[in-house]
Amino acid sequence: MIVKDSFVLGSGVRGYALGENPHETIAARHHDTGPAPDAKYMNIYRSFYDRFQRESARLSNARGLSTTTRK
Amino acid sequence: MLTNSPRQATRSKAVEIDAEFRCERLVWEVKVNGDGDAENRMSFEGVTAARTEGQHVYRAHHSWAQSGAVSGWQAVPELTSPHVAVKNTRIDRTTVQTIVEFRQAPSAEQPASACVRSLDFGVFSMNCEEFRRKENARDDDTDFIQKSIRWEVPGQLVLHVQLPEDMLLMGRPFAEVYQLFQTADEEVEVFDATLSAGATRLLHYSDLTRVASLHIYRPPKWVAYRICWRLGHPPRDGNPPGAAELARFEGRRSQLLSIRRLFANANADLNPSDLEAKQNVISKLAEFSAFFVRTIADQFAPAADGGDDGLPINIANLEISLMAVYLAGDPEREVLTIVAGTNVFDSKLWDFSLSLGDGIAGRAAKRLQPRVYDDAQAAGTPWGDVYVPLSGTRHAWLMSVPIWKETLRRPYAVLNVGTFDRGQAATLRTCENEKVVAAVLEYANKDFIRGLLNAICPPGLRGSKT
Repeated sequence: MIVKDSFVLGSGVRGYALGENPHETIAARHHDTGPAPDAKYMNIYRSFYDRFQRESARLSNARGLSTTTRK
Repeated sequence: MLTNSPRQATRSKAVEIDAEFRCERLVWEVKVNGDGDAENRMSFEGVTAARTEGQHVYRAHHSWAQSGAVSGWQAVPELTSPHVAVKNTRIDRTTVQTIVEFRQAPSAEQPASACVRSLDFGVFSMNCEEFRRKENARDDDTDFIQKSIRWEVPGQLVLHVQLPEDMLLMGRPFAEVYQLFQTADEEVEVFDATLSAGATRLLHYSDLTRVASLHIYRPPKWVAYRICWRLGHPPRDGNPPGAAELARFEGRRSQLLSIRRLFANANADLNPSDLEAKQNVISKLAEFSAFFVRTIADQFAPAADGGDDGLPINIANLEISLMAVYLAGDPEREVLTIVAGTNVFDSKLWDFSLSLGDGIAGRAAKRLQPRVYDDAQAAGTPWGDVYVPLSGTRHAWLMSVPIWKETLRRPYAVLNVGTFDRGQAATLRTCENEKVVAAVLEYANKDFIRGLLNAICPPGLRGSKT
């Protein structure tokens, strides 16, 4: 995927213009099946996995959707 | 459409008894960009009288945009006389009232000048299809800017509007003039064919610069001037999409939206297949998060001892959310809603819908371009209002990455990566380069979306899920 250049819309607001059809590029280059896990980042993956689980539980509690907390 | 005419005026001509404003020239310049924003500059040159209810104040009528949002007006110091202050009162997202206060009374002997600027966000459309999808859509495909002269007495009124290359026009811009009449509770605009014909003769449009200019000498009171343009149809490339392709696209949108239910429900309340789908979705989000952290970390040289101490990210301060596109309203328009993420428990955030084109994520989805917001640079400028705070906290830094169907050029979703922490923002700024943005965009549009769709509904089970 080619990002042609960045542009400034206004103070602190920026965008990136794309230089070619990104999905065609993907089709041409795509052979892998995802990020190769390595030990260094498995911990980060695990931290985020747990965090998303907690955030989901927090959301369902906040909305009263959890039967485990509903009285 | 942008106008300084109110939807519901409550003043009558009796206001002229209490208000006076005279200037040599009143200039309104509008520059529209490809996002449909309007950069405004209003100059009051050679002000010789400014009085409202006994004070040396010019109380402008409401500035109003039919859709999108408007910022307040700010003085441009280098073009404004000393002892002039600008104050705003925000009525709502699309309406603001501005007061220009002259702390030394302007006079013919000592005229003053004031120049104010503002921004209107996502107000204009680039083609008629986009125009018709607006929240307050009309069916005539005609957009305009409007300046109303009520009790003010400018020696000359000058309007300039610059239209972007991305905007498709049908024909050339033209002028319209309306007489303003006051009733008991509103202001009525009545089209004036004679004045319109005269104004159209005075309108100049440059095809080269795409600037339309209208100069009116001694405009009469209680008249509104418009520079109008008709929007063209977007071009159709190749064959129109087939029914099957559109059905697949809508089906995938629905699948992505279904993540919202999974994420909002406790694990204990989900049936085994939904629970498995939820765990898979969370796994894909965590994979993306780890990928992003790794990409950022690669921007930094390894620590001298080769250890991990150099990792500059506190992942507890990194906020990630996924928004899905769905259709809402009448006429139907595409909006974004959060379906999963961090810090989404606030109902103001979870229940919010963002129109395509609004905010940072809405712009990314509308333009199919990654967008970045940096609060340290935007705060205190009119561009700070481009960020739509969905909860009480503002992002210190935010990147919105669109995910879309290329053959249709329509978005599925937006991945947001950001932080509320100013220190963390300094680290995230390092990813503002083409290489990192391209890597994140590619990952989001390739591994992430593919894995996510498989997570919600594995290929072998598609069509069998209820």
